[in-house]
Amino acid sequence: MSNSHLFMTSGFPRAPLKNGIGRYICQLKRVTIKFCKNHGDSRGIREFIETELVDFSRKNPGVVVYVKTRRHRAPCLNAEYLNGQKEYINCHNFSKDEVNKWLHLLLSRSGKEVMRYRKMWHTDNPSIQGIWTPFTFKDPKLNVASFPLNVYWGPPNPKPTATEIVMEMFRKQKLEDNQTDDITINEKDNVKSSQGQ
Amino acid sequence: MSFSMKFLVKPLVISYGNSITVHRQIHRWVAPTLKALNNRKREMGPQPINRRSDYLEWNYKAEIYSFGKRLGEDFKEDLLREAFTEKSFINLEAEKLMKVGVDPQLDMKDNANFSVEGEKFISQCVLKYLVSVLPSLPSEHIESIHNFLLSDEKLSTVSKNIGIDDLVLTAEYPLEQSTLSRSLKSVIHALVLSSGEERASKFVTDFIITQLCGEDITPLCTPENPIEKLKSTVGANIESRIIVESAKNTLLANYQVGIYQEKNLLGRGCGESPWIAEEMAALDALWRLWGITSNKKPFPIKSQKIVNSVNM
Repeated sequence: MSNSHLFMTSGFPRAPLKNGIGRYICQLKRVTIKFCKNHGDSRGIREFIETELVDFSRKNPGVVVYVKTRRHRAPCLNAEYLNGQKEYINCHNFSKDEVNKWLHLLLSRSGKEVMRYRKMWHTDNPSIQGIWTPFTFKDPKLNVASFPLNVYWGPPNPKPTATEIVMEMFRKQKLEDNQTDDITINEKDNVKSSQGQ
Repeated sequence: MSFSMKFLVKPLVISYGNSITVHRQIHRWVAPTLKALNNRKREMGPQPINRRSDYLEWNYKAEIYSFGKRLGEDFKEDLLREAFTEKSFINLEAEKLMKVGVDPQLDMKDNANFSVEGEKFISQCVLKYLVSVLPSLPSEHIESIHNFLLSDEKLSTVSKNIGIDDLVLTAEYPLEQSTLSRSLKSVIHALVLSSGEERASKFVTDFIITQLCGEDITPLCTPENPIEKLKSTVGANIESRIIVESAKNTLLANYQVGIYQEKNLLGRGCGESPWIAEEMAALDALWRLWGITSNKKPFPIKSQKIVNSVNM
């Protein structure tokens, strides 16, 4: 964000009058081209009027184009939009192509003032599953439970403590010892029985 | 200020003393002049707002032509002119002629008839649409949605945003909401006369019914006594049960109540007391029955089959 954005309003992109849900209407309603007949800085705009303006108007019958001469004043494009906003572009020393480019920019705008977008999308209903309540995702079992419940004591996934680990190791060792004892006893039994045979 | 900054600034002066200094300043007369102008402006008080048509670059014929083209419709010019002409404008013109001493025989028609016919047409289209997309909604709520769409507030917004406000010929300015909505209705009647009912109903769908998109219609479909309404709809054998409750006997108490019929959950609602929650649950059940829950699909605009007969 640069310094020029400091006083820019911020917001979300919204289509004027649900434009495009039904049909698309171009938001530019009228444009006034002001220029001087003999000053040098209007040369490009004069060329544009001579060669391309009629085609532009044919292509966009929904835009009213006014052409106004002003002696020795700066050339400009003055656009008016359906929402009542106006846009002014100073065309000092513009070439024909530049005028064309800026006019098409005016044509494709919605007429809302330029703003910094907080997001490139917007929704009125940001939550899919609905508004959160204290009971969202609550286990229905709890309705009939009698408290206190031992399950809910302590942390949810407790790790074994050092003492518990040692006790576990001790228990395992004891088990193994018992097994080896059993084997030796069995071997002794086997020896005894073979001797007896 | 209409004059350029360059006339207010003194020419560049470079003086050579011990060191080079550059002087560039605004003329001494500028500040007092601006102050005087500002004072005069304040004394004059608020000035009337100029209409767009008061300015030099204004061609009414071209404006009317491109109004139709912008909306993608072919209007007949004389019909559109009639739709934009208000009674007050004709009176004003006649008065002007009377003052000059000319007999005021104006062959202009105002849009009173057009707006009445247009309103009938819009209302018919909107009702057809609502009945076809919300088949299970009772007629009184269909009517309240219909009234919402045909309110002056909604219609004037549409009217302003398709560029009617500059084109209306009327005595008052800025325009009132009723004037704007009246002209929109007349424009729609002019469209019926110029291109037929089918195109006009498409126009109504695209510009007026689209106003429903993103709109919460549940406040328009809230009966006075939801529990009684539910009983009369599904039968009296409904039972309410508290599903969960928390923070009982505190300021933040909240209950969730479900309404059941033969062990089937019809709807659930929350509230700060069981009775409020029960009412909300009844509303939820009704909205589910009528198909207007908050998670319902958006209204179909592009392709939808409209029923031919309206049984209201």
